[in-house]
Amino acid sequence: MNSVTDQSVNLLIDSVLKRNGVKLRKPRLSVQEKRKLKNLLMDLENNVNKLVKTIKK
Amino acid sequence: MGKSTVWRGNMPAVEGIDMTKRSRERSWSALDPSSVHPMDRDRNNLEGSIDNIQESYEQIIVIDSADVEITTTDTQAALSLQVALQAAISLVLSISIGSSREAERITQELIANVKSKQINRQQTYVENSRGVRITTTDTDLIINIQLLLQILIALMARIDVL
Repeated sequence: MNSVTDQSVNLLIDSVLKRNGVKLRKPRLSVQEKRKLKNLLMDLENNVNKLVKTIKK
Repeated sequence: MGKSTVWRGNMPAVEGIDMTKRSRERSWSALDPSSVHPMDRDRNNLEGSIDNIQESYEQIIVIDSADVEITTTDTQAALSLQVALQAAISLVLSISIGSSREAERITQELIANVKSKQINRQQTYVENSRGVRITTTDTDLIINIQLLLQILIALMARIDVL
């Protein structure tokens, strides 16, 4: 994904949050909780990459 | 593709069935407007409104053929991944907003904006052929998954998890 997609995604998130009158606040998370979330993201990212690779083959 | 091991010879005789007639009646010609395609019975009505839906259908029919190699993307795995990403987005929003109901509503709105609103139908018909290699992919689903991942990354960055 390139920076154009990043920008579009950020604009989309801003727009949806604004429409719903919601502001994201930074939650107080412990180091362990942050690590768990990071691991979840890495796991999902790896699975997406695997799937894309399978298709490109 | 390896060397063909197909038996060569005359058309096999099947008791009670005129194989020549069967073959003649079933064959389809793209240049003959009166010829009915074998899949015409599944003609779909494309009129009407298309709501926020995404459906995928895949149908592959192989008849009287040999050395046919078919590769399809594991759509089930892709769908599971899509659901997992949606759940993760909902989780991050819920942590940040504090209200799971509101988080769910925003997740649904984000997903609705990302999803390509179309029905994907793939129909492949192979008849009387040899040495055919077919690869089918549902690209709509993959693009959705990549965009959902991008949304999740952006949300995680906003709440200082990354």
